[in-house]
Amino acid sequence: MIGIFRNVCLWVDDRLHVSKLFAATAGHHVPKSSGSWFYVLGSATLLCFMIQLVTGTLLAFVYVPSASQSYETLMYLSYEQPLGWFLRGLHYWGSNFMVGIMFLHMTQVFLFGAYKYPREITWISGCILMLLTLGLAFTGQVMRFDEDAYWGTGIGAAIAGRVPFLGAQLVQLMLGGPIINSDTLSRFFTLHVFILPGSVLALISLHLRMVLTKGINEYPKPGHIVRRETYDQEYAAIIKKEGVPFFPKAISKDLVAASIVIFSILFCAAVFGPKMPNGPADPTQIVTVPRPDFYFLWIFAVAALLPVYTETFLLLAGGPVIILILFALPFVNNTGEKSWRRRPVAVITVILIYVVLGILTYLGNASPWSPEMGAWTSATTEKSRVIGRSPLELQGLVLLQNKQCRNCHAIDGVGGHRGPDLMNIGTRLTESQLIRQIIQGGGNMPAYGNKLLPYEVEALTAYLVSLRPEGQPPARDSSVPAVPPKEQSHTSLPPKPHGES
Amino acid sequence: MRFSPGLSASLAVLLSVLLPACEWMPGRPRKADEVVAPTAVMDFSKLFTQNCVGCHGAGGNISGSFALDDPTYLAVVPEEKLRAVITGGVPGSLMPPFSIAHGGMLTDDQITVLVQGISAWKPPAANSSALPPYSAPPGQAAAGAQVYETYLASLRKMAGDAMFADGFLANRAFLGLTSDQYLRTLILIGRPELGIPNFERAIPGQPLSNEQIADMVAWLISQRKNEFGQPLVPVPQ
Repeated sequence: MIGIFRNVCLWVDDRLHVSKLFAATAGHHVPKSSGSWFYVLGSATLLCFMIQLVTGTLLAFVYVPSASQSYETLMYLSYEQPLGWFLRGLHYWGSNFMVGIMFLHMTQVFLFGAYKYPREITWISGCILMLLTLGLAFTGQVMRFDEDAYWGTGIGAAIAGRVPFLGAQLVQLMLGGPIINSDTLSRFFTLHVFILPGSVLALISLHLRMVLTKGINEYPKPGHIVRRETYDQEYAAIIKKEGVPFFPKAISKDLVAASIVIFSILFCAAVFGPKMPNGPADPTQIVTVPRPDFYFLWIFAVAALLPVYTETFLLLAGGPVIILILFALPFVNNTGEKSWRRRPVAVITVILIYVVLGILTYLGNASPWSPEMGAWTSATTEKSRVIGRSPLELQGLVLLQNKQCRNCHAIDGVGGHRGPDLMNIGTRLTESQLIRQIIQGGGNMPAYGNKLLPYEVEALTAYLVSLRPEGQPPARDSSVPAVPPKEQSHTSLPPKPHGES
Repeated sequence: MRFSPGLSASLAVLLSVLLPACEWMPGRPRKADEVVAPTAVMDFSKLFTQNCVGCHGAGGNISGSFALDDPTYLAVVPEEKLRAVITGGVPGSLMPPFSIAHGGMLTDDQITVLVQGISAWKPPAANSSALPPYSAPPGQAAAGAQVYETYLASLRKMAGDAMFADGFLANRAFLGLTSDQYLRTLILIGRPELGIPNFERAIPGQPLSNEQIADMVAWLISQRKNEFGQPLVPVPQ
């Protein structure tokens, strides 16, 4: 019996050359120095992609890419289907880990100079893989077809619409019509499930082919200079002298890293769960706070913070310029020092990029520029900002809510953050300045002169003047002589009523 | 008992798949946390927090307008009046309409949930028949001036001078921003959370009668000025 099985295996190997293929791929020799923890990030990214393929295929058994049913199928997966929520969690966290580890991998490749001669195409194929991965991430968030997806797609279409001459056609191509509907979802589904994963698979085969033909970058040593004339011989000498087979020698750390990644994704899916849809997509629903997934928050922040006159140019030119820089990098910086210890500009560039992206991501998440549309009816006020106020001042507080000032202005941090917090506004602006600001607007604030009645301005101002720390007098006009302390008692914060400490 | 590496690995994989099936896994989405369309929210607490608490306090919160869990208010306000105010707002005042039919964001069913929820705060022992009615026509302004003076003097003793510096209820801008009913409601229920007692305790030992409240309201209405050429409410002739 064993003999028959052995013969079948030998026959298959003879026809398919499996053992030769294995020896040429997993068995290829790599520099011993590349058996480092820094070198596990590429295989970890590939592992995440494999997880995405498996979990995505399973999700596709249930998910219906239709505007009328996609949301219901997600709800079914999340609440009804046994382990459906866990499957969604694995897919969601798998994508987060894939994007995160991919950028770490790119950073490591950049800092280790692995993009230099002779691995230019390895780097470029990696850059295209990065773009495809981000494409998968973007189209993936559209699959939720919730408020985030709807408005995110709308912003994407708006950017595409600004392309000169071809804008309208691009929007038509992207949305499958003039509006976001079932055709849009079908297109994004096709991209997410067929075109982009297929392209990723093709690019991965090229990427790995280049890794095999040009070898894994040796761990760079400070002072070791890459020269086109000598590098190939030097690398061959390294392999000959200290080369080890990738399997089973160098793969050990990759396997440990793979275990950690799998456990982390399982842990996050079980503990944090999937990202739940942010309400069904409804263009008539304006009380919503759409946000992209975390890897696009920095773009969200950039789009919000750019001066209006630079928007079109930077949104359209920014992406191509970044891609051009990435593609040109291995040709512009083709030889020389590889070690990050001797490349301060590279280190500073990485730090700068991470700091900028980190800050923009934080801002994109907080998005203080967005009004809190429900704050006017839901933002509460600290007791100390209510007690001791006259009926007129209390009407001012009601006006602050009623006129939706709280949507942009917080008091003690509660409310919108588009404008300044009003907690101590009474110490910063005089009554006259407050009236002028309310009526004429200024800075980022619109004018409310024709939206408020004089009584309303009076009540609002009375309340705002009262917003100051206990015992602190209101702001005064510096051109007017200060009132002696004894006479200004009526301008200080009113004492609290009995029973209040 | 010895576990082989293969068995251990198999157990680990099995556990990692089976554990999430347990109800207690924190990542499992809860139906209660589902984001629904705003018009589908039918939970009173959520509706009250999203729509009322900004202006009206309750349950420990206080704000610019009176607390909706005030026992005196709940004892006197008829449920249909509460519904009408939430639905259509109070023209000429700062109470906006909340019904979709009137330009607001709430459905009739949601307003019913709010009305029932607020009414449920009513103390079980409340006897509204012994209290002045929620609404009544204004009385005699001349008589109201005298009552208001006594009322104001009494409140000053209880709550200090701070909130009376700009004329208290007789402030012309305040009067321009409030409806007749709001003035009556304020006198009826006071603002106990701010140190202003209700009609029973405003003047110690002398609960205000329905006539006295109506007279005070009439006098306050008479103090409204048609200034700035933009009257907010019709000035009584």
